[in-house]
Amino acid sequence: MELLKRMLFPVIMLLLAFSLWSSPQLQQIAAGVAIFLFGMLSLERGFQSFSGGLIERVLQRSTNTTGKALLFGVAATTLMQSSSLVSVLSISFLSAGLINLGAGLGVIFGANLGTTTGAWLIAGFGLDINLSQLAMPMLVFGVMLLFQPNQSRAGIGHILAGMGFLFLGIDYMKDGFATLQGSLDLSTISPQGIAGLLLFTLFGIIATVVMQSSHATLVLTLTALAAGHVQYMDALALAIGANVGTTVTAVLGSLGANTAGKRLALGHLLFNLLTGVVALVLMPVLLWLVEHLSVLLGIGADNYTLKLALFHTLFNLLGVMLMVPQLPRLQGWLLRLVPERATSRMQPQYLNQSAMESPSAAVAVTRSESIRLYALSTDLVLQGLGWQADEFHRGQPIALLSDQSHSAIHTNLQQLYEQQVKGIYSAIISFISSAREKASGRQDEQLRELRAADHYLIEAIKGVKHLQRNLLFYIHSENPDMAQAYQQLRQQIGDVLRAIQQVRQIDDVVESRLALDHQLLLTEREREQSDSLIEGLIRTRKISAEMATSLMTDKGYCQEVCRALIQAARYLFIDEQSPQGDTPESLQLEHADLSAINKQLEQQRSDEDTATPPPEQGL
Amino acid sequence: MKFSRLVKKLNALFNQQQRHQQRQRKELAAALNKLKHKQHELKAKLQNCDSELERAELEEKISILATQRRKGLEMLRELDNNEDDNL
Repeated sequence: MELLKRMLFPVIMLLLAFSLWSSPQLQQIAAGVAIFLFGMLSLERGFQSFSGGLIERVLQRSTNTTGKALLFGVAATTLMQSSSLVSVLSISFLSAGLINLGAGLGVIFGANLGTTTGAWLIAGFGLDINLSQLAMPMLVFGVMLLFQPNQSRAGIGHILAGMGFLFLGIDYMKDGFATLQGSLDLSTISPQGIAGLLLFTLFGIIATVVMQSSHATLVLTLTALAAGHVQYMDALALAIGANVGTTVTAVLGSLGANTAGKRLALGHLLFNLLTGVVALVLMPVLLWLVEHLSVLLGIGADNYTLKLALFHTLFNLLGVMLMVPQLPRLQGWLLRLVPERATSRMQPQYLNQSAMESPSAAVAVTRSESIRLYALSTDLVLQGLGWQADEFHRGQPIALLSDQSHSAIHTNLQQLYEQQVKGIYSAIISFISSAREKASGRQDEQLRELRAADHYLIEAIKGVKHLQRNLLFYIHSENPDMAQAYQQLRQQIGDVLRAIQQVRQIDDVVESRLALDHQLLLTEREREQSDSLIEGLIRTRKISAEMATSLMTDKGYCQEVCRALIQAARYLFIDEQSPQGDTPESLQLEHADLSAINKQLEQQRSDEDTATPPPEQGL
Repeated sequence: MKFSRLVKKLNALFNQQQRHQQRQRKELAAALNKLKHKQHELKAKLQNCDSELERAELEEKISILATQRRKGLEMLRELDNNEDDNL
């Protein structure tokens, strides 16, 4: 495939160069197509700069029913004039698990209907008015806005400039075809009947595949039809071909997608193929319908461009009407045809290239993969501490967890880290680096925080690795004070993990943040109390100086592990919709704040203890 | 609308930094409001709580919220002062 692509490209370029050299009129048409495509690119870029905002929020919220998904597809494609962009966004969202397959198919069906609005606009207005006059101010204001540092303004600039280029491109094509009068008549090379229909359908497919835009093919067809260079029937076949050819963009977009994205791309291909076949088979019926509806809508008998727009709408509508009732069956069939591939525990499960298309999707897959990394990391932490992860996750109280510390002493955490965690961690970091190139604002901040969360998880594993040897040795020490002190350290990490487990069940953001802050307060208190405890043990000679230094160092590791786990949980499990940095920094508690709270509470409690209760008043 | 507020709004329209500060102030005020509600809620719970362990936890959480609110109010005051200086 790659070889074919590499060979085909120079051939196309050479053929094009020869054609342009031999015909100045063709040069103008080709320049029109190029300007039009450049406009599409600019328009897509403009809309993409708003992605992560309105478009994606609406896509996520308005696709819970097939009807809504269809409407979204129609509206988004009408607005953006690019079904490819809507398809690629849907694949990206489906790959990220933000929408389901049914919703994705609904959006794709709707996008097909949405493309028909472009044909109506061009056939209705674009060919009768001087579009270049409209294009000029758009280009001027668009380019002025493009230079603005503000991203939204630059986005609007891209959209305006894109529309300006679209209009300019159409105008060039119109003029090109007008000057071509008489020198080119495709009808002379077209065989009649079914062979002609099939040949022009193939032309439509090829043109759309080359230009990667059915919209461009349709505009080219409409302008050629208006100038009389293509016969009406051939133009209809070209429109059918454009519909089929547009699926190539989606199929290419799905190559980097996961199974879900591939299913949607296949669904898109099937839908458009079926619609195309039905349109070809029912051509006489559709033509009859077009004629009758044209009379009803007041379209002139010789206004073939508007008739083409009507035909385009009718056959896409027919496709939607045929496929929507079959949606559950199609979903089931796609699920069977493209089964979920079993991924290895060591491989990333959620990250996929297709999610890169939209910053929201990129954040969603990174979060899912990071949460998976959290699960794997905490399993290693628990294993390193001599506990069974399964028992812990089942909710067994920490005191009742079976002690595996004798066998855990042989657990090589470094090796386990390299086997189970490092690959996924590296994949996430690499994915985030690429995704941040497209992301900005909130999404960029969220990606940065997720990277920090993953880093904290690795820090936690490292901390346990340092702690492990002494902990598993002293926990069985004959010195009861040392055994108890190390048991306390292990318990402390266990408490933090249990608290995080509970935080994951809390919906209230303030409540969950408070629960983590509370855990931080307890960690700080443990640190302060263990300082005086160790000093006491040394003073009373219950532990040796060597034991004390080990304990003090390991206490530090334990603190690091607890803090790292709490920070990771803060980024992973609280308020997925907005970055934690959005909460004012000043409200985050520092060491000094925590220490002051602990002192104040201690004082308050000792005051309560010494105060004599007031005598109770009798009734 | 008071004249000073009108001037502030006009000033913010042309000053990106001030717009950022105003947004920051709004977010901070909203966060403080939420914390205040949570603190009241926990205080009410504390009054009806008999368990010693739960009381201790509630007291700790209330202290955390009080500290956070105090820090937030200080920052709010600072932001207000900055805004006045910009005028």
